[in-house]
Amino acid sequence: MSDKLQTFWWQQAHQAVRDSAGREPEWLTEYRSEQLDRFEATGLPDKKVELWKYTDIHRLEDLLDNSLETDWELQLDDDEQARCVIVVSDYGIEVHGSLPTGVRLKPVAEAPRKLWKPFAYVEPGEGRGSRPGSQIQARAYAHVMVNQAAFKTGFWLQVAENTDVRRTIQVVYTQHEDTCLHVNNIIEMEPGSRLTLRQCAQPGAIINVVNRQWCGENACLNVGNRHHLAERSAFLTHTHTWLAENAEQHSLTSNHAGHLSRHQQDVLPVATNTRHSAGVIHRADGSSHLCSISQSLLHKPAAKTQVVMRALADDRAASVVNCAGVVYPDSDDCVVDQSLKNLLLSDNARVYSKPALEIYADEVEAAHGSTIGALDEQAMFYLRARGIPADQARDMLIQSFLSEAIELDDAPWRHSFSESLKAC
Amino acid sequence: MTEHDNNTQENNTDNIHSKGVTDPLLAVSNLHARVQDNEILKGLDLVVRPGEVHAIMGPNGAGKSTLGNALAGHPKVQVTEGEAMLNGKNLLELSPEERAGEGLFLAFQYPVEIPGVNNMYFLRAALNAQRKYRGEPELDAAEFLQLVKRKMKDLDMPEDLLRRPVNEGFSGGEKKRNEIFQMSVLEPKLAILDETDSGLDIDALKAVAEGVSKMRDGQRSFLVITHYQRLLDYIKPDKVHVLADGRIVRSGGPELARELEETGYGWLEEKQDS
Repeated sequence: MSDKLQTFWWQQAHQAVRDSAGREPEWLTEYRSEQLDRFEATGLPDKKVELWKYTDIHRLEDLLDNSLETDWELQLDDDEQARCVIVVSDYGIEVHGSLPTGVRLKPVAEAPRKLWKPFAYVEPGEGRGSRPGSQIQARAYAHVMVNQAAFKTGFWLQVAENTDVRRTIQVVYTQHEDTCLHVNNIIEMEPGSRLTLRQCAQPGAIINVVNRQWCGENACLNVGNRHHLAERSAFLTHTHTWLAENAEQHSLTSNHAGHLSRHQQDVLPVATNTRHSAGVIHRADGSSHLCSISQSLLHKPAAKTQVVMRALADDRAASVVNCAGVVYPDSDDCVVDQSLKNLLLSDNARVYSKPALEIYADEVEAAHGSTIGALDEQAMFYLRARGIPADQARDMLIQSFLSEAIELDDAPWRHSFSESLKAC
Repeated sequence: MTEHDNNTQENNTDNIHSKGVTDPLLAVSNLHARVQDNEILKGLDLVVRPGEVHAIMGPNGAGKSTLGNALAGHPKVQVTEGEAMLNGKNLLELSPEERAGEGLFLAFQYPVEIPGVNNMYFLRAALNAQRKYRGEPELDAAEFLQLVKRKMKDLDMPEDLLRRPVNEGFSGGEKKRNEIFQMSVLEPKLAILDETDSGLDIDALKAVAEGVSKMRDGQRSFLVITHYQRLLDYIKPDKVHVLADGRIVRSGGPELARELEETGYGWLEEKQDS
């Protein structure tokens, strides 16, 4: 292989498969091996792959020689002590504070095989579901395949049936030695359970996280993600969410800076009456590259999904927001709402914004919109005419613009999380 | 320039140099301004002294709002010639925020909605920025809250106003009242009300006018831009000017507004024809 990243990842995965033998269940070693074979066969995505059309995965190669000088130390103030903090790194998983009642945490390798459901590798255009995934489509998930073969750590977090977890659990990702750390998590929400999770990352080079989220009947999972990265670091996440009947999953994600910050969530209802909402904020500046992709693959009737993405790109940065909603045949009474708005703040910045709807059912309520523009000149004048200096006025308008992603519903957790974003 | 215009010009400017008269708060002379390729103001003269209320009336397209925007520093209004002095300072050399700091307030005809930024945060930022510009100490949260609560009571504003995002979801009347509330908190030396009466029902009009009247203190001046005389029933002007084709073509006392209400602006066309 001539590709530096592909070679690096292959070696990591190959080593992980070898290390797994005898230490993990046999089926898991086989699973890792299958994923490695699949990665080897498909290779890395290029511009022909829709989900990577505007994001060059080879940017990661710039970080492979990073020296990891992470002097990061977890500091807990009094408030945070009340929470439970899970630190995930190449040293393993550490839990600070006590786990809330009804929550169990184990290494991911101990999760039962039934929870390791293979991902559906789907790209927009495949909505009819009649075609098998092509090589090109599978390549979009190369980083997921290599993660599944090479993951070094990860947790299986289980919330017991009908448990309403009042304390927020915080997950922090960091790395000390491995240039590219692969993390594989499974979150299992048993029927009727509720949990709010906050995640943030402090990569020294590259962290690649794959999450499986299982939401049982009537379960509700809220996730707040704060991905504010250093200039020479990368954070990739792929989240696959399965929703049972009446289950809900809501998220609010704030992305800022980073050499490459790419986050994809695929949501799949497996029963009727599911709810999903996602608010995504991008602040791309410097030479950062941010990419957020949301795919709602609605196979079941009466699913509701709402995605609001607000992105701004300044300096020489690039921001990619991509939203796809696929309503499959017979999935009537689904509601899909996508709103993508982007601010282009400099001549050299780039914004790629793409909403997409594929509707194959008859009774569907669907809407999408995408805009790219500059800051409203009249609003700037309004603020300045009140005495507010131009820089402060600009910040206020940006805050105003981004707040739309926070206020997409009345969920109190979202507002409380937004307060913590302001401090960043 | 017609004989009448010459008289008007004198009427607007001669007092600048009169001895024994208070120095002007605002002195505008020969102001020319463009918006894109259109010359809108074509040599406008105006003098406003402390404590005076001047009404600017005129037909659509005369340049009334452009005058307000030019004085406040709107980036789309390009001043090409002339002078505008506020309290002896050349406004045209200042940024919009500096003009506000000098005591100029523009009540917008179409107040802008700013979702996600509440009135409390916005107003405190505005007030403290102005105080900082003037070298005055900034107000802390408690001091500011005390101030705005007093102002809200004075103007009978709804209690939830401070928590609400700036102008978002406000009715037309609420937006205009919010402009007056902002004016009351910022306490400018010169307030320009740009068609503040447009789109208001009679009750909202009275509320807005009462707010303005409460702020008249013998020192603060007002430039009231309006199409209609009805606002001037509540805000008694000292002088009324007719702005047409970028210049003030006639000035007079409050009776001029009543005359315009009866005769309209047809006479301007006749004058142009002659």
